[in-house]
Amino acid sequence: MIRAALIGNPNVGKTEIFNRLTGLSQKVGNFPGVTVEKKAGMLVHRGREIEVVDLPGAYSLTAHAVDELVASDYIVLERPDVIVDIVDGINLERNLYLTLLLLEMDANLVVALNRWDMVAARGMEIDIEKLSELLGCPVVPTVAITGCGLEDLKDSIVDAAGQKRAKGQGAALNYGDDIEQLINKVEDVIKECTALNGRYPERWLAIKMLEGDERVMEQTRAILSSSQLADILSIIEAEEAAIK
Amino acid sequence: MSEYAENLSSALAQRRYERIASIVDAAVKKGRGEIFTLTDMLDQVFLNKHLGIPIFLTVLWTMFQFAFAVSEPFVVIIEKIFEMLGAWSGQAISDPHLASFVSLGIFGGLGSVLVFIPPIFGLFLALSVLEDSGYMARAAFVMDRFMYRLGLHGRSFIPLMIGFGCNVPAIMATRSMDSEKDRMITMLINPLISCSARLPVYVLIAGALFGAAYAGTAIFAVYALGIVLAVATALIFRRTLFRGEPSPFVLELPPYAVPDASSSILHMWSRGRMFLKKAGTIIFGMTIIVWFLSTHPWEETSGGQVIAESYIAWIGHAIEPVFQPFGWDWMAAVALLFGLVAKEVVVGTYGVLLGAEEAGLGEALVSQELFTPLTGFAFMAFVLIYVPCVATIGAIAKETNSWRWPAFALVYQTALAFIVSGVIIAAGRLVGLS
Amino acid sequence: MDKLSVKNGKWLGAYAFILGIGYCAAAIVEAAGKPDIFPGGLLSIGVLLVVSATYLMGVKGLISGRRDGISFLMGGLLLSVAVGGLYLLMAGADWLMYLLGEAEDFALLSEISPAIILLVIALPLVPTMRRLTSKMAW
Repeated sequence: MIRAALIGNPNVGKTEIFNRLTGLSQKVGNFPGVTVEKKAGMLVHRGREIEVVDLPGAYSLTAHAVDELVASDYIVLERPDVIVDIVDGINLERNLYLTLLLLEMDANLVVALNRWDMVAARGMEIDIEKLSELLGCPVVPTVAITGCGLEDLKDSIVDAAGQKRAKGQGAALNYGDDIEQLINKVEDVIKECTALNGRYPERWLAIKMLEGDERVMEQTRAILSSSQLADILSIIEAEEAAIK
Repeated sequence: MSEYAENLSSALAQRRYERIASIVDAAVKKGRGEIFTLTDMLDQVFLNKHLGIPIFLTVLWTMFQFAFAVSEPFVVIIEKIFEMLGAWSGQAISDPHLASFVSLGIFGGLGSVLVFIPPIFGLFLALSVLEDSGYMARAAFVMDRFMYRLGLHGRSFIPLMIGFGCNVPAIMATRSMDSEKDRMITMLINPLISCSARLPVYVLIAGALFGAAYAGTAIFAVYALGIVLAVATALIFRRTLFRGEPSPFVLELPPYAVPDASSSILHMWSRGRMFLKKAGTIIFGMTIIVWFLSTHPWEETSGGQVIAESYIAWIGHAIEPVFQPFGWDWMAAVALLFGLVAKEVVVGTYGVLLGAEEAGLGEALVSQELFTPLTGFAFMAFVLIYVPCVATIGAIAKETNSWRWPAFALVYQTALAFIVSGVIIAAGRLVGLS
Repeated sequence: MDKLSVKNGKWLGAYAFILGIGYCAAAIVEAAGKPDIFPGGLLSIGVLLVVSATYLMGVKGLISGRRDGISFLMGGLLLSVAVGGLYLLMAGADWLMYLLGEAEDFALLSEISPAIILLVIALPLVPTMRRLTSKMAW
């Protein structure tokens, strides 16, 4: 069974897509430990069973809002086989932020470029192949309210599930030499810690620590030895001033 | 630690945006400029400084008219079906206990609540269409200016609107609010927004006591009362428990869209499904309890015919004194008592208590002279205000992570209910009504 | 979107004006018809006035050939459909009630309320609106 998760900014048509994919099979529950609603449903495509989980809509994945935390945790801990990022074609700049964050988490990503009809209606032209190449993942144009493009989307989901992402392929984003250097140094310390071994994507963890993400700091404090943690913090503090 | 974090976070974010800009630059060939769209045109009207709020009120009125008036014939159809089933099972089943259970407990009790599926689903459908069309966000925007002056945050508008359907998802919807104080206020006043569970009570009582001409007005008055109380309570909370200015309001306005019929229906169904589940479980369970209490002891009550001798009457008479000043009898007392679980049970209880009659529930209310228009209206107000139902209490407890606030809600709402009903009765008596 | 030619605008403006006055008249008729309208009846009158105001606010823009005139006309049409449609549904419900034996009679004439009549009058504008906005994006 393929485990897929849907994510995207609020109001981009994620619910419509979820409904079209799962129809009446959807069940509503809660994410464990929190009162955030969890919708899940099933779909069968090309003989494969696909479980689709609807993650809360989010602009970003910080520790500040419960919804974002739930989505982030699900991706990092549950490791779904495929993540479908629903992007609003007429609001690319705003939507791609989340996409970049997801790529950073080594998500096996498929981008659904929704509101394709509006893109055309506004006289915009988006080069799908180029976008796909730049992001490093498949991009499927869709029109959720009519269902157009959804068969292609289902194809993409099954195909993506078949090709596991190589680790680190998600680093579509190079932050610039100075930051990259810092990230690598932190990653080195993280890699030495056997307790963390493979649990989280190292690069993502490093970046989170750079951002001082409260949740991550709390969790790593429990796992890393105090000397390792001190090492990381001293590295960061040393280099931080140089970065602007 | 946080010193470095701030600097690095913003540096990282900036690099991300730079990268996005270059991606978009490379991939988007044409037409990235803003153009005037149909959405912009419609917003000229719906967000208009002068027309915005009146249009919203119009939409609101249309929504309620649709939910109540248009669903009426369907209510009647369901009512007739249950009446027939009740009568048939009363005759057809030989064992008197079972006959009573099925005809009175199930068809009488549960049935009296299920008849309200049409207006409840109608309301959910209307809310779904409003949301899917994109208008709901405009309504929130337009009401925000007004709500700000009342000490309410514009973002609380949508949770409050959802409250017209059911308070539980409405309270969960407050999660989208970032100011804790605004969120608490919204959660605490939410139960005052009349939910669909109270609808059956209003329709039953208003329909019976006020006649076709004024029933709608009476129901509207109760809804309006709820809104006024919610606003007043919010103002009081703002001044006392949760001091401070509401935070600024930023809301994303999605483009308008013609709501897709199947998706709105699915939307309506997923909300309505919760009501049906509740009906099948909690309400059904409670009406069975009520049935049992009103038909036992079996001999004394001759199988529920002589209600006055049953356990439920005993309970009712015990509580009755509390409600006597309002002119309500013991039946009202037990109905309110069981209504603590779910407000529909108020109707369900009457369904069982009066089900022994052949006539419909409304006529029974009138023929037995259980309420006058004044006491009936006060009763509707009481049901509107007193205690949030068990599910809502649970939702508040979950969302605030403590039992303090639900307990507070319970207490303040009950007190408010007594006060308001008291005022209504007193005012009515002063004017010479009985 | 087609440029609003002056001739076009004047005609649309007049149409909107008539509709605006029409809804106003309907509100007056409704008010006069009921002896004591307070408070529930106030709402149905208010609704008619709101629709009237929406049309009237577009008249000036339409005559001058401005885009906002079209906006108000569109808004007005949407409201006409919503309110008129509602009254149609209510008439249908009343008819069903009559069939079910719950109502004494079904007076077809009184069921065709002003709101429905005005909706019918407004409908011919819909194809015109579609044509004018056909090239636009949502």
